[in-house]
Formats: sequence, C-alpha cells, structure tokens
Amino acid sequence: MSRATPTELELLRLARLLDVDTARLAPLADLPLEDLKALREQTAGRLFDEGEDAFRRAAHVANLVPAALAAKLAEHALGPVLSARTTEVIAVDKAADLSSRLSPGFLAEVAMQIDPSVVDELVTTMPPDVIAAVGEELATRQEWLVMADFLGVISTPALEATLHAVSAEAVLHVAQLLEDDDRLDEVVSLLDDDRLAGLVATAERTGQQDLLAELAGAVSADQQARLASVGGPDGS
Amino acid sequence: MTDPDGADLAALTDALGSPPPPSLATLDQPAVDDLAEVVQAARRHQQQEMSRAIDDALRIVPRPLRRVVRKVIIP
Repeated sequence: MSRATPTELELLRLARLLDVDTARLAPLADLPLEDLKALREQTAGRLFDEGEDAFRRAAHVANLVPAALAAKLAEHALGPVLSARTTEVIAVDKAADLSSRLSPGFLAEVAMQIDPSVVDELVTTMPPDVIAAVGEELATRQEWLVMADFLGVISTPALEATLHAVSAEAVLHVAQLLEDDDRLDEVVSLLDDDRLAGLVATAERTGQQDLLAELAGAVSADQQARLASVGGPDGS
Repeated sequence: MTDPDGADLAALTDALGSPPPPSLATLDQPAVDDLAEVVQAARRHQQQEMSRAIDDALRIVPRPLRRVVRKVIIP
C-alpha cells in the first residue's frame, strides 16, 4: 500500500458525491487532474444549485424552531445528504450549535456528504471533542478519505483530540490519503513517542513498511529523526 | 473507440447544466454517456430525498408549529 495519488483521491471524492463505486469512474482516470477537480466541483454545484431553494427553506426552519427541534428535524427528516447541503447556507454559529446537539453517528454521515473546504469556517468553529467523536465514528466506519479531508482543515486542537481518539491503524490509513505534507508533518508531531512507536509497530505488523517509508520521506527532518528514534524509517 | 472528433458531450452538458471540461471529449462515448447517467441519477435521488424530507419534517414538527413550518418549506 502506498500514498494515494491526487487523481485517485479526486476519483474517490467524485464517486462519493455521485454515490457510485469508484470502479465505475475508472475511464476518467487519465483525465488531467485539474479537469477532474473541475468536474467534481461542477457536479457538486449542479446538485447544490438545484436544491438551493429547498436548502435555504430548511435553514429558515432551523432558525424558526427551537434548536433541539431543529436538530431532531435534521437527524430524522432531512437526513445526512440534505443536512450536509443545508449546512452550506446556514449561519456558522447556528450550525455549530446544532452540531453539538447531533449524534456523532449522524454527524459522521453528514461529514461523508460534505466538502470540508466549503464549510471550513464551521469545521474550525466546532469543539475539538465533537470533532474527535466524529473522527472516531468515521474510523469505525473505515471512512478514511472523509477523515483525511477533514483532518486537512480542522484546527490543531481538534486534530490532536482526533488523533488521541483513533487507533494507530486508523492514523496510518488516514496518513496515506492526506494530500498536504505540512499537515502530515503536524500529524506526526502531535503523536507522542509511545504512539509513534505504536505507529511503526502497526506498519510492520500489517506489512505497510513501504507506506511508512513514503510518509517518512514527506515529513520534516525533525519528524524523520523522531520516527527513526522509535525504530521507524529515517526518510532517506 | 473514441470518435476522431471527440465524444458527444451533449447529454453530459445537459446533466451538469453547463459544458464539462473539454478533455471529457477524449473519452469513449459509452464512458461519457455513463457519466451523464450517474449525474442524472444523483439529481433524481436528491429530488426524491427532498420530497421525502418535507413529508418527514411535517410529521415530526409539533402540531402548533406545523402550519408555519409548512409555509416555510413548501414553495
């Protein structure tokens, strides 16, 4: 197993948006990366534009009724897909309040339907413990790409809380899909030596030494030295 | 086989509401048509979900609030 290429990540995101198996999008694999991104954004825009009036009405209802009822409506009526799109038109403070009233399981389902870069202000506003609970839920469901995309935009305290909440195996899965090397470096820096040693041991136990070596090659010299000090590759 | 003039993007353009990146025309026609179909399916699914959500919401909202919520969510 090695780090996913940007094209593979884009195809996974498009497949998730369209709710199809990635294999169905295999013919798109040779398209230029920027065109794949443009196609995904165009598709997301089409779906959002078509429902925008309804999403704004749902957001209006959320403002009209007590927060507890709004949360109940989101979880039991709107469902994760429509809630995700409504989140894009709802005030950030209202959405943050609602998020603290929703179950981690439902928030994980919403997270699976949302582009974190579109709601980055909300994601950075949500309490770290809520983010960590959602991260734990996503790890249980093995939604590694969703986790990686969110880990790319959450605050450092939320990142730290999430890393504490999930297993070394989950960290390896997510690290494989992290696009941003600086964020990968931060992930490694936030793991203490015991957890880093656990990561190395997990990689060896699961035959992912090549992935670990690839990850080591992408982080800073400081983190490479830490990895080497716990028995991992030194990035060379 | 890819058409020398490129695949016809009309169905995909219709599904997306605007022309896709031109490189899509380098794909085989069946691949383009299949992509148009999955986009259309996603649109249909969203429409069905919205109708269901309105019905469910009106069932959940307490009776005193139902009228005002109905006014807001039904165009």
